[in-house]
Amino acid sequence: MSVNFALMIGYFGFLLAALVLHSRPVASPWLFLLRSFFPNWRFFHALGRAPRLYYRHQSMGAWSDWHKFMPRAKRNWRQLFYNAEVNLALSEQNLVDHLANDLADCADDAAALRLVTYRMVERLVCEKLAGCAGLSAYQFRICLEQPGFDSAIHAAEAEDNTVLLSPVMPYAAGGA
Amino acid sequence: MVMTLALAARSVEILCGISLIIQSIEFLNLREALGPRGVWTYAIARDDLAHASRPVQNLFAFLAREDVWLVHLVLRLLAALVLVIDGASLLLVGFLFAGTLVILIRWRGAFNGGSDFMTIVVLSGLLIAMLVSVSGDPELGWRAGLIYIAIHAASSYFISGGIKLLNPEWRSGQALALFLDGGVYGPLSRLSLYWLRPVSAVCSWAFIVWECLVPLAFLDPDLAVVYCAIAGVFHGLVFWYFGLNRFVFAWLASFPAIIYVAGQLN
Repeated sequence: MSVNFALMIGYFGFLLAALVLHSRPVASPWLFLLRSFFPNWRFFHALGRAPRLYYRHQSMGAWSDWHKFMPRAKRNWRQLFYNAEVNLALSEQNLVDHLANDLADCADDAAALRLVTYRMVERLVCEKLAGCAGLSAYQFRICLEQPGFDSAIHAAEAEDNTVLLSPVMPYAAGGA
Repeated sequence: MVMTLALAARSVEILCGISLIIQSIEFLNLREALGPRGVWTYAIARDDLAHASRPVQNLFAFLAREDVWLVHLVLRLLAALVLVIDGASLLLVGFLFAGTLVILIRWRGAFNGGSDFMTIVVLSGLLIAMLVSVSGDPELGWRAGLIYIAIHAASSYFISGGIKLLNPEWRSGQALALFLDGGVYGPLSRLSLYWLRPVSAVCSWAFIVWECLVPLAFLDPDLAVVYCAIAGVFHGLVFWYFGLNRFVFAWLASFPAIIYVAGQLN
């Protein structure tokens, strides 16, 4: 029994050391796709500037205000057993997070437009805009914002937080 | 309370099966997002596999076809039902494990983060149990599988708590209120008690201390039961505030392994 407990103490000591010591991230396309095999249990670990998606559209020559994409839902207990819509919305926000990460590694704007995440977020914006009357063009941007930031109050600051401003794109029904 | 190996193994099978049933039903209803008009259309997602060999690319292109995807998810749902009703076999667990891998790659590595990780952990534990069983020692296989699951489950709580303990915004309670405010069921009402720093600090410290104390669960099987009961409440709150329903069932499937291993250590 003492060997078991010594092993246990050693293991949790190792985990503690891993938390305190900084390690270099390892990047590879396969590691990214297979990251579920290397669990990252650091949930909600730190506040910081979170990537937020804003989009606007043009109808009849006039641009709308910027709309902020923020996954929100009404809760009820049945969602414990079936919560597909909320889980999808959270995945959409993850996609925006991944685009912001990819942008940090992007050499130039042309490379950004070719990113898988960029093209998926572009489709996400088209999906959100579907149904808008007289839609002819759209544009989106990614901003890094502190939690609790209100872009309606701090419009100028929102401009400063922008890390990506897409070109103005003609809207084609059926997606990007 | 000491959990027998048979009871622990059967409990993991049933709870993992229930978790997979819920996930499969949700995936069946999210096929549009992966379809030709969806955000995750394979016409774009295939570029994630540009580095892969041609046969691998062809395999994933086949698996991503709408009809093949539907058949896969229906088979996965049936396999999860069999896991609940009849228990694990190498073929069944191998299919569920490989299928989970394919699904996660199709969703660019993860769909729901932590619940994907824990689902893979539990399926890996079941796979270890089945592989060793096939080689002639089912008891050793199940013990190894359950220990594997228990180590990962305990690590998940310890790391999650430890990382918060090291963060001053969590220690002060500020992080909790802001994460709740930005959560899917947010924003918090201006009158919410979580905006009061003493309240959010007490709540934060309660979670941090409880998560960091997971090694104590292995000192006594009764402590393990109490720890897992509190964990159930914790995951229920995470669902209630953040909508993460899959986390509840993914972690529930690991509790029998924690209780079993605590019994074996004593």
